[in-house]
Amino acid sequence: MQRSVWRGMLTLVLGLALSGMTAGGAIAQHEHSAAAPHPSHIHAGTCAELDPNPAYPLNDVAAVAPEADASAVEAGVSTVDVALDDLVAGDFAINVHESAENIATYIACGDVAGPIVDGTLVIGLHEQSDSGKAGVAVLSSNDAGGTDVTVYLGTGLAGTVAGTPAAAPAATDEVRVAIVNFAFDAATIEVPVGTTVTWTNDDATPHTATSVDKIWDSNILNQGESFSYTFEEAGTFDYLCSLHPSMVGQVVVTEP
Amino acid sequence: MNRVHSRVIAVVVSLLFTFSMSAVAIAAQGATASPMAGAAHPSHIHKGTCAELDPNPAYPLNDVTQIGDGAVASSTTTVDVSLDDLLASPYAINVHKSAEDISTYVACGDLTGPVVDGELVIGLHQQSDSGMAGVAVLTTNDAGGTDVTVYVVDGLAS
Repeated sequence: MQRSVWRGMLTLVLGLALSGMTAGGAIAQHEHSAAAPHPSHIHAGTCAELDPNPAYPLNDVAAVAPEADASAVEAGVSTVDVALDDLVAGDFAINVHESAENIATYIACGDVAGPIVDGTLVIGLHEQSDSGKAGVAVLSSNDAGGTDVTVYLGTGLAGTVAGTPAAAPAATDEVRVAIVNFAFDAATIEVPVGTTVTWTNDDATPHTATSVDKIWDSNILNQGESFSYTFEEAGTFDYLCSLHPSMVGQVVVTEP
Repeated sequence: MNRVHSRVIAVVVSLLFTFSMSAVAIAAQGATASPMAGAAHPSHIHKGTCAELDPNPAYPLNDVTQIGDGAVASSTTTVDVSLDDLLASPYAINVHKSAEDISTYVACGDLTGPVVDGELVIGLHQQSDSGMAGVAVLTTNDAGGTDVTVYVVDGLAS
């Protein structure tokens, strides 16, 4: 990841130079464009009470590729010469600024606090200044005793994608579940009421699709054989292969 | 004198034990205060987009579970499909509220964007006013499949 983002950032810089664009121009074009690098630092204090003097500078958070549009996730990778344990023991926060020109405007911030699991701490970066930016920072202890810090920043994460309504199950008449390699290939499916689910055994070994609550039972399906059941009521229905009970599945039936 | 020492030591040990148990109790109380405590969010790659999702999972991902007692939940999964194939047609990563409430989506992100050195990072947008959002990192692995790491943060979209 570190190498890839560095390459992406290098490509971005070269791309900007070749195209004659400046970061300032990009900012003018779109206030929070993915092309505008965002300075970032670890500060002493918390997001609520931040020491404005950076304690540890981080590399800019920037577009990962020149072709990235404004909705793409931006990233920055850094290594800081301080142990993760020391960062967590004190009060520190990661702060992302709008731009070098507008350094006083904070666009995302997260307190360096939380559980360290296997040498890694993941924190949320919360929106600041109505920037529309939020994200995640991953801090990992490295072999040199320092900390590798990767910052991911997304745009508009608080809203559904492109302002569209939340996804809802589509109305479908029939859904197929294959039985292959001693497993139901879609262990959990979600269907509207009235959907017919068809299980087909693609294994050389016989299997069944049997409701845990005895609502339906395919009986033994040899290779190539199928069984169908139409779900007329909403609910969550667990099933298994009665010959191999470790093979389990679930059908979630929702109101259309 | 030895008896006095023993009593002093016993009192000190007792106080230390009481203090440590109180600390454990406080820590446990703090842990349960998290709204994500114990939550496991089923997650899948679906065909379609977040706006128009095929409800049948195309590739199951491991449940997104809370990291320790923090506000971040994560999962890592390897799926047997190349990143190029995932980008060749519309796919989305969808995170559900729970196995019991699987029809409620809490975060979703379309698989689209620039791939740099075999890696794609996408945003996971809040769904159903969950207050949850995050990112997913998809990386091509040596076997030709894709490693998918999902990070979701409670309260990020609040």
